[in-house]
Amino acid sequence: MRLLNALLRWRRRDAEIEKELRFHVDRQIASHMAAGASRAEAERRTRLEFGGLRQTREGVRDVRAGAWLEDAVRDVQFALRTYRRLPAFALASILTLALGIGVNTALFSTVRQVLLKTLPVQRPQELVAIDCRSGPGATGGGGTCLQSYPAFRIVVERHEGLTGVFAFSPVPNGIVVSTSSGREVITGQLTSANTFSVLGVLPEIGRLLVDDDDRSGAGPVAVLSHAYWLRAFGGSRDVVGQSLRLNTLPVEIVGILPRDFRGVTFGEPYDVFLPLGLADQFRSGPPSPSGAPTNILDTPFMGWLTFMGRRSAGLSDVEIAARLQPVFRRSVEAMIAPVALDVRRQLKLNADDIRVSVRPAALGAASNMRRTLEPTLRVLSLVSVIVLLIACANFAGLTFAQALKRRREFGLRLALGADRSRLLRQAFTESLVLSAIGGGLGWLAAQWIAPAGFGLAVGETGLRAVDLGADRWMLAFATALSTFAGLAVGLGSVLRASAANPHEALRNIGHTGYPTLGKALLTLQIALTVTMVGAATLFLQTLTNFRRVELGFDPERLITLRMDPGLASFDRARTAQYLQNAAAALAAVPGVQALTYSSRAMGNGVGINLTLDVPGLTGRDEDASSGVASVGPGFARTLGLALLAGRDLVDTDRDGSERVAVVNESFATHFVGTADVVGRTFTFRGPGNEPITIVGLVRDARDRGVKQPSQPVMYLPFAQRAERTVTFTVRAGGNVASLPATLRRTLEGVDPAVGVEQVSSVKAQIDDTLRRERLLAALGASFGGLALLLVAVGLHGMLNGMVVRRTAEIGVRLALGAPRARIAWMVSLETFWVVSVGLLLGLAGYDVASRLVRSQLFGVAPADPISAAWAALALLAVAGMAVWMPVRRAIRIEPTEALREEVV
Amino acid sequence: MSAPKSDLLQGTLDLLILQVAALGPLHGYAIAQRIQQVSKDALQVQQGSLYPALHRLEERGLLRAEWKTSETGREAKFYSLTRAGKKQLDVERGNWERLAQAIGLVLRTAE
Repeated sequence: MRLLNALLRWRRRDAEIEKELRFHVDRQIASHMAAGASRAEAERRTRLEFGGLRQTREGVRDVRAGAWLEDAVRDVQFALRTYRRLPAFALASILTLALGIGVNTALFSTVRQVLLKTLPVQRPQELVAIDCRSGPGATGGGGTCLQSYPAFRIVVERHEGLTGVFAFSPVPNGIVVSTSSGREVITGQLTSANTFSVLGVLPEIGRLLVDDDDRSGAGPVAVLSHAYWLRAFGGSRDVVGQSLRLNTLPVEIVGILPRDFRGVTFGEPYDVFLPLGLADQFRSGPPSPSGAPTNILDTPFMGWLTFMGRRSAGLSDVEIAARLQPVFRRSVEAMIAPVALDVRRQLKLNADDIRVSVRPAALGAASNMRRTLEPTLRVLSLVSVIVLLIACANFAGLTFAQALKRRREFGLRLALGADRSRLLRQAFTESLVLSAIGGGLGWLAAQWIAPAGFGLAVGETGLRAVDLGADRWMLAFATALSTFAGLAVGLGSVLRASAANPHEALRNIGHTGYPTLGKALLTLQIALTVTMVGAATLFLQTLTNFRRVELGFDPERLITLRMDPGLASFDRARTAQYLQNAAAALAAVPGVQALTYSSRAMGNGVGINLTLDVPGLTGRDEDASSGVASVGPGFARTLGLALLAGRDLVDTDRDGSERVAVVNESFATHFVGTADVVGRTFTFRGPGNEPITIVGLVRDARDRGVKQPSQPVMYLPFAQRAERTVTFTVRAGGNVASLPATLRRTLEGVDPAVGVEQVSSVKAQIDDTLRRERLLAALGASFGGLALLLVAVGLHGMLNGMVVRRTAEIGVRLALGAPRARIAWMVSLETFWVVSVGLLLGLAGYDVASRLVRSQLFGVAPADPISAAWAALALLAVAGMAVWMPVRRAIRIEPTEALREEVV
Repeated sequence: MSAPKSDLLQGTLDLLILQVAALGPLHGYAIAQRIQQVSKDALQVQQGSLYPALHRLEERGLLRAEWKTSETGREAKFYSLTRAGKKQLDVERGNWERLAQAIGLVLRTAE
């Protein structure tokens, strides 16, 4: 308390002390004068007797509590005044630090959000994810996921080892919402009605799902996410009870979720949550043998749900799995029982070999985004640590150079009687002030860097999934980092300050070479820079290699138009009619060279793998699957897929005509063994499937994008499949900027029930899959360039200072007849050691670092010598440029002038 | 300038200040004068050490300070003894006298 009071009143107290001492001094003077001395004499005597007013004041201040804080404030003021005199140094230091701290803080915040943040629910550490698979042969084909709706109903009745279990699955391809203002495609999650009570999430408004909502016959209800509520309803509080048309189904809105709940899977923020009981409205079951659609809720063997639950107290994951195993086994047995024995044998249905695994899910269900981001984040952590070290080394070097220049000042202050410890404290404070300002700026920058960088890495949709705003942890981290930087660097200048010998400093004698500490810092900076530039070269090469991958088709001028899920409400006849009309309308647009359609755009993946039976196939069961793409007529021609044998799909391949397929090379090699496949047949495994004849063979293409190698793929006629989404792919004749908009308008006019969800191009989509590689290459290049710039500045400074200090010596040498070349050599030699040691260390660092980032490399091996050579070359070029000017200056020295000049 | 000045230890300065202040509120100048007077000029307090000592004693709660108008009409800070200070004064006096006695004994027997 006394401390606090003292703090508040120290300024007033200072005035009081002054007043008190003044009083005494005046009285003393008066008494001297009364004894007969003149005023001047009296004042002089009093000054002597008092022994220094300033020291007395300091002495009194030291005694009062809170003195150290006053000193600290005074130190800070002094530091600020000093920096006003040296704006360039201060600015350079602050910017360097802001960069290092900003980048690291942004990364820390991102890592925390992506890899460490638990779900905003009650006691998230109790949550587990349950995975139930069958071994090969248990329910047909390779190991299958057994998490179907009937299985869920059984587990919900008897959830051994768990206090609650829920299931969910996203609505594939989104939901069309038609409102008075138009149509929008939103994302939806089907989730069991007990989900929110098991999770312990409370509604913001209204209520969340209850068990009744899952019952058949219950009125359709929905719960909205907070973000969607703000977006679509402006946050109006009377949204509860309103009706929403989802894919033409009217649902009643019963409640809104809290702001921080974005779903159970990181990176998948859903706009609307629907009870599982509505699943058949949004997803169809697998086609039955007769071709009629089945209800997904009744299908026992379709594994489409994710199960999660809350563990009972005191049980480990293994124990819970052991308890759930018999439950699942009984459920599979019950599901198998009604199937006929011969069918059972054909499909190899049995209840053996059921494997249940339980793993902790405090962070939520297995997240795709997290999985793909994790290696990138690790690489970025390495990069940002290097950046921070470079920033600190640079800052230290700058401070060090400044301290050298201020030797005289330090020496003077010591000679005038300053306390050495006071000087040390001052030096520390100066560094801390700079790092505090730099840290503050860095924290501010991080607020912008984190979302920008994250957005670059995951794209627009991903950005909605996270909340990268400011948080306490980011601030704490930035503070800690800047304090560390300040202290670490302060140490450098402190060493300098404490070594200041007043005598030497005042007369400016002492070593003229650059002190070892400064050289060491520069060497360290060079080493880190080489490592960074080497890594950047690797990233650039990776990106180039990806871009050079042979696609197997021609991606130029291919415009894609993805239609929204409105198509799902059509029956097959209407779908066929729609596609015919749409194709005709598009073909009529000028500038369209060729067009086709498919369930997914080329490069965006192929449909689920289905198991085949090929007569005469030799091989194990697991290998008997192939990717399936549903495509329209003219697919191969439009995309530029090389047709190696047979024919492309045509109009006449439609529903009711012979079932045909075009396959790729991998398919032929894998299933048949030769390229002679045209005319052969195969059948999908399972009862009631008709044989399919192969009519064409195409070259392998990167159906799944540049990162996935080619696999066996069959292209089936769209009209012979039941697909719910379609993407039109149009090859434009030329580069007409307005063509995409025209195509969009045309398609939207074909049928009002189906709208265009996204217009893009194949090239853009391929580029999109290379987001992270682009980010790494861009960051690597920018940081590498910046680091090289800093090295240039550091080397230039070091050499320049040296030349200035040794001007007299150089003048003497020149006067004595030394050739200028020799002078140039002598001057450059200074940098030789710094650069070469730095280079060697940097190459070693590059070796280590490249091994750490190998997961992100493609087409280059870690420690690739060519990249190393580039890095070395870059460094030498930069060093050469930095050194050139001081060397030129040294050569140009006029001996007579140099000798006349007195270095004061 | 007449008698040789004795070097005062910090502890003894505190004792002298407390003793002088016991006689009533005085400002710093007056305290210094009084010590000099009463010791017949043998003890001259260095002003540089007087004020830190006064403030230290005030911090410790042994002296109380007040701003009052002085005899010359200017405002000055007057120090007076607190109860704790009175107690401390007695303790210190006791210590000092015991010390003086002990030293006296030693000196006498050494003769």
